[in-house]
Amino acid sequence: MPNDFLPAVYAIYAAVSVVLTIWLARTLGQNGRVFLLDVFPDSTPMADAVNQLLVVGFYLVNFGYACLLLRGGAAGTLTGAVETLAGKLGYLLLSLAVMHFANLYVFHRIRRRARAHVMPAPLAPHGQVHLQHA
Amino acid sequence: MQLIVLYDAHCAICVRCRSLVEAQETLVPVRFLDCRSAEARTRYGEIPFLVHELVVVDERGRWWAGPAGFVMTLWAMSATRDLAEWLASPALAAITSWAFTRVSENRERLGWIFGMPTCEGGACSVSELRPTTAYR
Repeated sequence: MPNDFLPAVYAIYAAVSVVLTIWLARTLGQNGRVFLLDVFPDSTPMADAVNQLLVVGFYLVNFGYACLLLRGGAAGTLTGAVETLAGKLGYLLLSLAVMHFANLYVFHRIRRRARAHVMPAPLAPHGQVHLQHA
Repeated sequence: MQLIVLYDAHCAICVRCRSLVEAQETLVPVRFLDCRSAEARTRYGEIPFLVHELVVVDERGRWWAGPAGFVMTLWAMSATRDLAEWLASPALAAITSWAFTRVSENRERLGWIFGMPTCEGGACSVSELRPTTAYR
């Protein structure tokens, strides 16, 4: 059976994956910047540079994975085409979700590390001794 | 903040731990003091667990004994700060406490099992001591 609908599946998939990736990367870039400015309050260029590098990495991984997902699939009937398209988009969305949460975790780690020296002790002391001379 | 670890200089595993901590990058300065030394007895003699347990004191005189002292020492090092937060969490506190107490009780025997030097006839000495990293 010829895959009559495959070009249409490819076209829709390509358009959706490009739009989704760009939208997510922009969201990540805009909101990640806020986190990074908190970490690098004295150095806006540094925050912007780290942010930009993270966004570039996000684009590379997602477009690479989206390209790999493009190939193949049964699209001989309209039903098959819809199923194939949904399957591809499903994998893509899940991979974007994983990447997105991984990026959030990276931001969280960077911020936490920068605040490590002001964090309170994890345990309350058992007691306190009076020191004669500190 | 600064931590003073009052450790047992007569125990091989404790001395080994001291050298391990001193080789690490720390987020707060850590100083080690033999719990039997005159300075320790003079300044911290009123802490009831001194000599019997690992005791960690900060510059304000606040002290943590036993497993809490162990967690505070881990917390001082940048590599193990997250681990310390974990071990201090309510879910793991009981396990941490149990494990630390087992090791602490058997510290002489454990030192022997790991092939560490015994400290008979005086305090242990470690030659490869390095200074602690400055506060960041």
